[in-house]
Amino acid sequence: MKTSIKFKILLAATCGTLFVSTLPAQTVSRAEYSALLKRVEALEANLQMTRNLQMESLAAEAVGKMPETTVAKQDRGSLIDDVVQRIQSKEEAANYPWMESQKWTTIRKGMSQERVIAILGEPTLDEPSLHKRKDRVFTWQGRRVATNKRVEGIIRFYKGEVIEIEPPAM
Amino acid sequence: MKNKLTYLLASSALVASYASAEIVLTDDLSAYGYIDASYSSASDLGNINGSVAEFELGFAFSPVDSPWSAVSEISFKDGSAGRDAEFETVTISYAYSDELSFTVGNILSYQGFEAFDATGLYQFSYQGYGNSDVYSARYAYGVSADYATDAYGAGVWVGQTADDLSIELFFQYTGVEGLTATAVYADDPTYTSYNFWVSYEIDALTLAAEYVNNDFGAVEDEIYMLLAYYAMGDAGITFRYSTGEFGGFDFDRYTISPSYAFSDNVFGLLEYSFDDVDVLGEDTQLAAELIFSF
Repeated sequence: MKTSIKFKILLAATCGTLFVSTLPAQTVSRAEYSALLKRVEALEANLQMTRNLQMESLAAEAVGKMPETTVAKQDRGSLIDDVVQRIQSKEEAANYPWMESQKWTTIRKGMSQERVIAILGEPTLDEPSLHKRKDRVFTWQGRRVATNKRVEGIIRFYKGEVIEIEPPAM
Repeated sequence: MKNKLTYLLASSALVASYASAEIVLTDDLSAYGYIDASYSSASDLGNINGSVAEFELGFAFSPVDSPWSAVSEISFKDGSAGRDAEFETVTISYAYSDELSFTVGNILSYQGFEAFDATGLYQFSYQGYGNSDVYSARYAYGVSADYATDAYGAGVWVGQTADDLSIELFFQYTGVEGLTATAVYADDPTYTSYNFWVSYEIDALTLAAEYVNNDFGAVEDEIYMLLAYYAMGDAGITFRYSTGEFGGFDFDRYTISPSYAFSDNVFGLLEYSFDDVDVLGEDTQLAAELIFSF
């Protein structure tokens, strides 16, 4: 129940953030912006930690309700870890399909932009290159759900075909 | 418990997408642009002028799943005839299909192998003597219809000069790998222009040839240009030769320009150009340029 209340508060805070984000923009100074940015980063880190704790707590609760005969006590720890990993893995697959390393191994030089997007999903950034033999740069950016580690993958194209691949360091 | 876990999964996915968001204007709106900083001289090294040649800022609005899109570019130039800021491409487009689109607004002319923006050039200067742009038109207000496939593209632009129509017709063939061949015809109350250019890429080498003919009535331009660009990894070198009659004077212009792409959005080059112009005499120009795009 305690976990459930925590989670409701977290959900309300998220909804509040979404609501505030729809309000008309106001001018802020650079210093105010930097300060806000720092606060947001700190909140994000706390949020991530809370989410991980919640997942572990819920998984432990789920395992705790199972009959003693179903799961041996010594296996419960690894089962909780397994549940948490599965949840994080599903979350990552849903939000960042390109974070699956296997997908990057299928990318080949000469592939079209459309084929790359079909495999990895839409890039975070699609930018032109000033290089005379590269004309577009697709960048995928995000943070690993489990570790919050920032990862980035880059693919460069020339005349619609892949010429350079920089897979993300997972 | 299963419901709780499902709920958690769905909610945490929402949080995760927020926690990892980059700085984005909106899903539909993107901003882009570049800064072009340069030093250039004419005739002697004692007369070097440095300036931010251009700062361009553009916004592209492309709603997902909508055939409508819009682009707005504002260019800030250093002391360009008293106009510090001016519109470049400012258009509203309707994509009837993947191939056919219609556009209205301030549109760049179809003319020219040499790009209008510094980001599209292989060197610092244009091919006309004294760094002159040789095309009869650049940006103008009008409407256009464009059709493009993998093998060819065609377009028509209609604008207005005074009370008369101004028209440009464009055809481009790209059916052979590495080859681009383009023909443009422009008919305006003040000029008639023909522009043909062809470029061919073979491995690291790009070769291009261009013919420009502008009939302004009292003066007729006729310019021929040859260009070779050789890429060596992130470095490259451009050789260009242009000749003909421009602005009433016969000329020859030679350009050599080594360049280097420091990254995808930082590009620098040096240029040496030599002009030999009838009546006006000889002239040498040096330039160094650094472009940062975003």
